[in-house]
Amino acid sequence: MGTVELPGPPRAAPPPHRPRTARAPRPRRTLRRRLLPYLLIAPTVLALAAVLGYPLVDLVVLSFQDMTRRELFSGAPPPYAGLANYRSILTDGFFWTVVGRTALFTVACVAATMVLSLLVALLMRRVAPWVRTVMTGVLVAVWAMPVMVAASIFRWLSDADYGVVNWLLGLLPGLDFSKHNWFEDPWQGFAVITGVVVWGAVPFAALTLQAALSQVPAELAEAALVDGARPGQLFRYVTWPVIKPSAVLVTSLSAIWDFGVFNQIWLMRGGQPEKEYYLLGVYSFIESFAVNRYSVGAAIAVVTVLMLLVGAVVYVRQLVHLGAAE
Amino acid sequence: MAVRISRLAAGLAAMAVLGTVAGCGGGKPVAAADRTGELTVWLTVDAQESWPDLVAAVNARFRKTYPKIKVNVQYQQWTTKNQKIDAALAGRNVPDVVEMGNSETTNYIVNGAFTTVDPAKFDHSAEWLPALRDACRDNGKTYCVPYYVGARVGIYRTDLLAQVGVDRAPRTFPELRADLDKLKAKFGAADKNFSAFYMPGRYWYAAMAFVKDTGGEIAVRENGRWHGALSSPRSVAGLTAWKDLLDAYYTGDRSKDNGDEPAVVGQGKVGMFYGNTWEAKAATDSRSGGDPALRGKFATFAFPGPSGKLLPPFLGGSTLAIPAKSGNQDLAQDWIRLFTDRTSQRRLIAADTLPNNTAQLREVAAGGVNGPAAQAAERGWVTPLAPGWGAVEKSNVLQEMLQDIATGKRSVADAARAADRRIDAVINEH
Repeated sequence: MGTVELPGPPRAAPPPHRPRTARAPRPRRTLRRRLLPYLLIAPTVLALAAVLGYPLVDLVVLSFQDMTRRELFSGAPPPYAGLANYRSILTDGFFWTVVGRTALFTVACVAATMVLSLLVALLMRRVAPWVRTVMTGVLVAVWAMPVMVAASIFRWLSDADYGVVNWLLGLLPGLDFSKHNWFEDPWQGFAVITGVVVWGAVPFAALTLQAALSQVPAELAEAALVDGARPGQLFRYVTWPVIKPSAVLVTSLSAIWDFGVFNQIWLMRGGQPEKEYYLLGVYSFIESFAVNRYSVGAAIAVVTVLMLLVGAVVYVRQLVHLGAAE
Repeated sequence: MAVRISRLAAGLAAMAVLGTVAGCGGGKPVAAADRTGELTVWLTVDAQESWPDLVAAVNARFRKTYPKIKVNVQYQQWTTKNQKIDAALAGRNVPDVVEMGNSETTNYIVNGAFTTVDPAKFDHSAEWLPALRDACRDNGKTYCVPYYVGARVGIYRTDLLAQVGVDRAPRTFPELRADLDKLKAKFGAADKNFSAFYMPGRYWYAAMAFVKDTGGEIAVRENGRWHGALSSPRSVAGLTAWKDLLDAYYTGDRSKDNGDEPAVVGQGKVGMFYGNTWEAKAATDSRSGGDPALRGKFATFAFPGPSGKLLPPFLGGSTLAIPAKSGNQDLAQDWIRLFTDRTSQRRLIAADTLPNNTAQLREVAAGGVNGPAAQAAERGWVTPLAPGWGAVEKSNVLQEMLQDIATGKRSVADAARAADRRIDAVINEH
């Protein structure tokens, strides 16, 4: 309110700086206009702060403490440990093995997801409308399948004694896959797990890319063909530039999801994953709730979050980029 | 209906009597009959499935002393029980009685989760089974009460053994192997999925029994510190004997555990297995994946070990503890006293489990399904009573070692050394 009275006679101690007094009548409106977006976003921010922010802060605090079950049961505050937890994991070779494995797993999953879903999306543009409807229905059904169910089914399919996969492969001439255990060798085991993850990720990516593909102007493609472009060139110079923003978004989102994969591994290894199957999420969970090193588990989780932020930055930059283009 | 009405009438009459009694009181400390409130008891589903009548009977007896206390029994799954207990203990609203496996108690006791109990108040406490008693003790104090115990036995298909001309259970290890050889020759030749002996690679309770049989240990305590002992020569000998049996007679997936044992046995392609007595029943029950056609075709026997004695079974058992944060500790103790007294134990024996004391172990019928278990229980063992034992179990150290041995990925000695290193890393941690 004070600002409105500004044109009045100067007082003993005038405001030291007021270069914009000429625009005095406007502040009330700009203030309201400036506040409005914040008011509108406030519920979201508050909800996020409550369900994500608070646990995250708690997690970070926990990672700098030395929390044991004694403190858990008695309610006494755990002693501070400084950087000890971080030092112990960062100097542990096994931690870096898990980090490398998680990164490799993420790259493999994302690459497979993107290639497959792009192929599915391109196919959907070509087929008859009713086929496209059927494909969409199937994709949505896959998308709706709970991870729990999907992982159990894949586990049965790849079962060593009774699995359909071994039986089918055994039908091929010269192959004997009876009693072949897919999880004995972690490379093969991860191939199956990658299969579940990719299977579950393709629908979202394919439907998004399909939507992006529908934005490619038909006349542009026709013109290119008239000019003698080959299919490869058509994709490279006409289609790709249009769908690229969506592709980058889907890629970064998939990377974030795949980096944090937990359920598929946990379920497919029957809740008892071998050390060769630890990814960062599983490792953090085991340290926290099996070995009861709550603080070390928290430190692993914090490092994981920091690594995920890299993926998030790419995602947010792309969002900002899209916003600027409009 | 008549029962319900009479019970209701009795309840009303009791309340009327109590009302008059309470009217006369006043000024004195609250009598047992006047105590109000709720007693929360967490039992595992075993009680719900196998002896719900015992729970009801004990609650009825408890009500005679404390008519105004509501006993709230909640059943927990073994797999998620401890996570729930941890969460509850971290808060203020804790259960008053919790059931704990005897391999789970030590970590909770050393971390101050449970209050002490006075053994003198409990039936047969002088004869409590060491496997349960020791799991409840720390520094001379008792923190929980033995509940019941189970021991694994050999279980075989009587019809299949009869077909190879054997009409009794094996009594020595060579006899066992001879029977298995016959089963393998007759049925294994025709069906490569037939296992004369079912022994999945991650079945650590079975493998560790062989370690114990040859005089080995999982972990030992020296100068106050625990360390893994699986790579000691005797332990390695036990693991090797286990591997030999598996190589000779098991055809299934070696990276599995025994979680679905009854269902697999129910498929009919298993001659013998090592398991809990109830698993034979489950193998004939379609609800657990078994085959009702196999009913009456299983018999149990005390499993002979390679050492010449009975294979020492893991005595997996349960105890009942009172959380230190419980506000009803005296009531909880009274409820446990009733639930574990000799009358209750008799009911447990009738439900094919073993009692919590050696005195009543003799009441188990030697010819019954659980006779061999009672016989073997004297050689029974428990997991190391170390603060970090839970961490060893939950990080699957033993399972992974056994899987590596069973699949041939590593030699017995190599795998055992690796497991010892992992055990050493966590077993002393609170």
